[in-house]
Amino acid sequence: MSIEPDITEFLARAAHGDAAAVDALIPKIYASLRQLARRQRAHEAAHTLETTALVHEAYLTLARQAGVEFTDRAHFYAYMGRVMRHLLIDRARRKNAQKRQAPDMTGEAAEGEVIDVLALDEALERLAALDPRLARVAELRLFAELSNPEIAEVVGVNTRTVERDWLKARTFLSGCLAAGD
Amino acid sequence: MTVQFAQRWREIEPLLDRLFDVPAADRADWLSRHCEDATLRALVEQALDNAPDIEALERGVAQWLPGLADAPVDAPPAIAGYRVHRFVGAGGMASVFEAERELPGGPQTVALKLLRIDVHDPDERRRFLREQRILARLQHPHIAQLLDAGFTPTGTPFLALEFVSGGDILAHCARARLGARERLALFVDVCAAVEYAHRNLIVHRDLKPGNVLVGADGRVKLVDFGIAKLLTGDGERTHTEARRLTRAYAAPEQFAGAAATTAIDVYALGVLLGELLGGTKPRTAEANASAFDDAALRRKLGADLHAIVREATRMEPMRRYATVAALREDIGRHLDGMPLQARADTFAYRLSTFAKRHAVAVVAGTAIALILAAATALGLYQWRLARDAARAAHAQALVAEGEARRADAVKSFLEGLFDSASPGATTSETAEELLARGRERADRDFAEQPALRVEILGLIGDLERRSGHAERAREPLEKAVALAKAQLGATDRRTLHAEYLIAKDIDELGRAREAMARLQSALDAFQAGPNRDSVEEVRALSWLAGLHERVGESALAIDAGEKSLALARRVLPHDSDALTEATMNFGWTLMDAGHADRAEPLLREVLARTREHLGARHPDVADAAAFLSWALIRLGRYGESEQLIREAIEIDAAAYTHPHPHVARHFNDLANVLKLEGKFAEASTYYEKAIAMNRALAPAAALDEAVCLGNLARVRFRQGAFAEAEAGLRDAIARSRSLLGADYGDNGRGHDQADLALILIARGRLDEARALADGALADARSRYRGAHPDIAYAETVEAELLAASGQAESAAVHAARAIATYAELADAGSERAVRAHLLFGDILQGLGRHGEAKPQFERALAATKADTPNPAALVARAAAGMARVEAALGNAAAARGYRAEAETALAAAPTEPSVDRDTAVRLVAGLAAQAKL
Repeated sequence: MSIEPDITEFLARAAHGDAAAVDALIPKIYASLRQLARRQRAHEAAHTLETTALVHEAYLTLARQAGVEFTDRAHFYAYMGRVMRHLLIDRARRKNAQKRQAPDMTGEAAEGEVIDVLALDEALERLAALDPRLARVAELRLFAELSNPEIAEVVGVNTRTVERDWLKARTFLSGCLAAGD
Repeated sequence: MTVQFAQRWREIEPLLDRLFDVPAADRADWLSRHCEDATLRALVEQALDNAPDIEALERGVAQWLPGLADAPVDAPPAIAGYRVHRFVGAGGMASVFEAERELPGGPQTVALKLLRIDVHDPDERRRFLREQRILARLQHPHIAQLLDAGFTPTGTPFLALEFVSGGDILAHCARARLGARERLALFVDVCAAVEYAHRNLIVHRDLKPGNVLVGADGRVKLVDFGIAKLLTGDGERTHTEARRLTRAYAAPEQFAGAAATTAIDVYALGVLLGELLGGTKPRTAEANASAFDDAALRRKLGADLHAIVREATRMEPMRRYATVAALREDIGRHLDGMPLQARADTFAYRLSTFAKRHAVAVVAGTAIALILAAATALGLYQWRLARDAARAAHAQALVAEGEARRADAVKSFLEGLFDSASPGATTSETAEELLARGRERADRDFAEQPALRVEILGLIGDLERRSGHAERAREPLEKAVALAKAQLGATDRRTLHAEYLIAKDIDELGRAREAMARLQSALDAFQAGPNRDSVEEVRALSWLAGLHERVGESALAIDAGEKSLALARRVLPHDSDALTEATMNFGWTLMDAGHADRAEPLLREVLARTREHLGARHPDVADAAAFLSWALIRLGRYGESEQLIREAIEIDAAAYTHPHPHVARHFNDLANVLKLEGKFAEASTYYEKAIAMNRALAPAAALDEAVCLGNLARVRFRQGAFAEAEAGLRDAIARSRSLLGADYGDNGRGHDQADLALILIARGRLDEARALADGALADARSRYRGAHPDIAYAETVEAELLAASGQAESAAVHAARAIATYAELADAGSERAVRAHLLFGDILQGLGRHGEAKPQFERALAATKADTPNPAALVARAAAGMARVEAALGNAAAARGYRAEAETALAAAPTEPSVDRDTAVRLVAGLAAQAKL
């Protein structure tokens, strides 16, 4: 398997908290995550997805691919959360495009309880502009499936603060989403 | 309002900070009291705990994942030209329907696959059609042919494939209860199909049991080359859109979206092989050598197959088999090795190696077969180990490569010998030359490599012995042992192996005690070291048990046999030949020691294992069935025994196209049972068949022929044709003596003498009989320590002789000893024990000790009636004896009852000549005369 020489470097930098490196990694991780998601979809009943296992798998894949051991797994999961968010947004955009092109083929059974990813993303962007830390906590919570202590480690605050941040962020997002589009 | 909420966040946030200190239930109340701004209050309230999205927000990413993959398309499609019958199933990448395709020649059943791939943009459509054309080119007997492809009216791509009615390969194997060999045969077909695809530059990429079907005809068909795509020179990136990987079967690099290479299929084949044979999927993939590094699996598969699985499933593609062909060839090598390995030395066939030494010139073909067997047994596993080591350990690269070279050298050495023998050569000269050349080259080519020389010398010596030259074997084997001890040490496995080989050789040279002592001390030395629990130890122990038994130390023999089997069960893989061998040898030892009851379950296990490993129709299964039948004979289970041997003969008929010594043996075995069942005429027919076949195999089967001639003479004895019996048995004895020389003493001389004595007694030549009977008894007593069936038999014959000579008191003493010995061996039911009881009863009655005689007849009658089916003439004989003793004791009613039983049995007995029948008739007639008086 050929690995672009820079992926290792990016992973190493990302592991030490370099945000630019994370962004550079995203397209590369993207494919791997989507593959995993599909595999999961194919093998599990739709409602018993093991998202955490999925992310773990992605971690292992990438670590293996690049020969890098992340000293800080929590940080890595945080990046995976970022990737997951992008992935979902991208897919939602594509679905919308398809809907316009071939409405009969994409009659997705949109369940009421499922949040519109695009609306959520928009709300998160707004929150980030107002309070980056709350947005960060929300992203980790929503897309990386991290526990509060893990989030605390990534963000660099205590667990109690994470709990409070999440409640506030959740209220913000809920408030924005409830308004509808 | 989104905008509004965000815009007012600066006001909302401080409110929340205070609000979240309030219990959730009181928050609405708190808000109404502390927030005056109604708009603001409404904004916060509708976003709080009961808000519609809160639950979804808490669920996180899981809620979107189901949608990541497209929804399944399970509704029957409408495609022009096809009639869809039923939904068959859905996998990760497609839904499958059984459908009929309208063709000019009539409808054709097809598997219609609707692919869940995104083909909405023109590029994707083009790619789909291009790949479909490539796949249509794949035409192979083990690949389901792609017949058609296109798009449904709604735009979903479909493929029409040859319909395979059948289950996946795992289900098929389980249902058909296929043995390892049959499973491997199917797997080889799978490899052939994948190889073919690879030659056409197509990688399957999704090999898994569900894609490997077995049709109603039992043939493998690979389906779903649907995601395979043209291998381009530069390794085009996989379009992950169309991919749904199967967790256990996908190679690690596939998860990373690497280019599709043949290594992906090799990996999946390795997983399939592991699951096919071991029933398990790989453990969670770690970033180490192979997902199958698993001691339990290794035990299950055996070293060779486990090594193959591991090699195929290495994490790094570069370290896997380079091609599917290489994988398949290793399987083939393993398969070729199996029947030869399974024909390893067992006590059962030890006699024939004796015969070879004395009478047989082994042809080159046999020697070559032995060499190949040894090469596979020894070579493949070690060669692989060494090669693995060479690849794995960078740090020890030099050492390991030396090892690999060493193993390769053994291989090429053997191949060299093999090549130098002219093909089809059949003279014994060639075989001798072959081995002589081997000895010479071992000394010359490996002068500087002692470990290698030990191996080669051991191999050469063993081959010499097994091809009938125990004397010539001694020298290379002694050399191997000396070299091994000096260079490797007494605790090295190779040293123990060399010692084991030489013990066999010394044994065969007729010095069992020396062999035993030597093997015992080699084992002691080995067991003091760090290399215990090896297959070499199992083999040495197992052979030691046999040696103990042969020198008459039954207790030691059973102890060693038990140890060897326990060790084998603990350390060897389930399908190990050495485990089967140890089980068989221990069973055999128990049989020889007179414990047929304990031998029976072991020999039954051997039969089951042989069936499982080689398939139900393998000639080795016939042999295993015959061995078990011997134990059943001793237990009086004649019907089962006969059934088993008949099955063996049936297998033989399909397996051997030419006369074969094993087939002749099975004829002989069948005749043995028939004789015990009282079917003397049919028994004679089978002995004669065996004799004829052995003659066709002359001189190789000369000893077997002598044994059969002796057995035929024994039937004549039972039939009352004493003169013919004497002539026949004397002929057999003369043949055995000339064939075996001094070894005759260890191989049935005592029995032959005892039986000849019985014939002579029947003919009234008591002086001649006396020498023989005394000789047999002295021989048995000197040979065995403790209770042994051979001693009991010799005592019985001695009693018979004394009784015939009018020395009834002495006769009773010997008969009582025989009975006591059988009792000690817990043998109440064997034919010989029954006859001993009858004899003792007769002797006691002659002495007027009717009360003591009665239990003897009772036991004889009970035992012979317990035989299944019971030999009617012998039952009649025992019942008549019982009637006579009851009459003598004055129990007229009981006597009448037994007389009636004897008459009933007589009516059921075959009307052919039989001494037992005649005796019963005579006794019944005597009773009738008594009753009249």
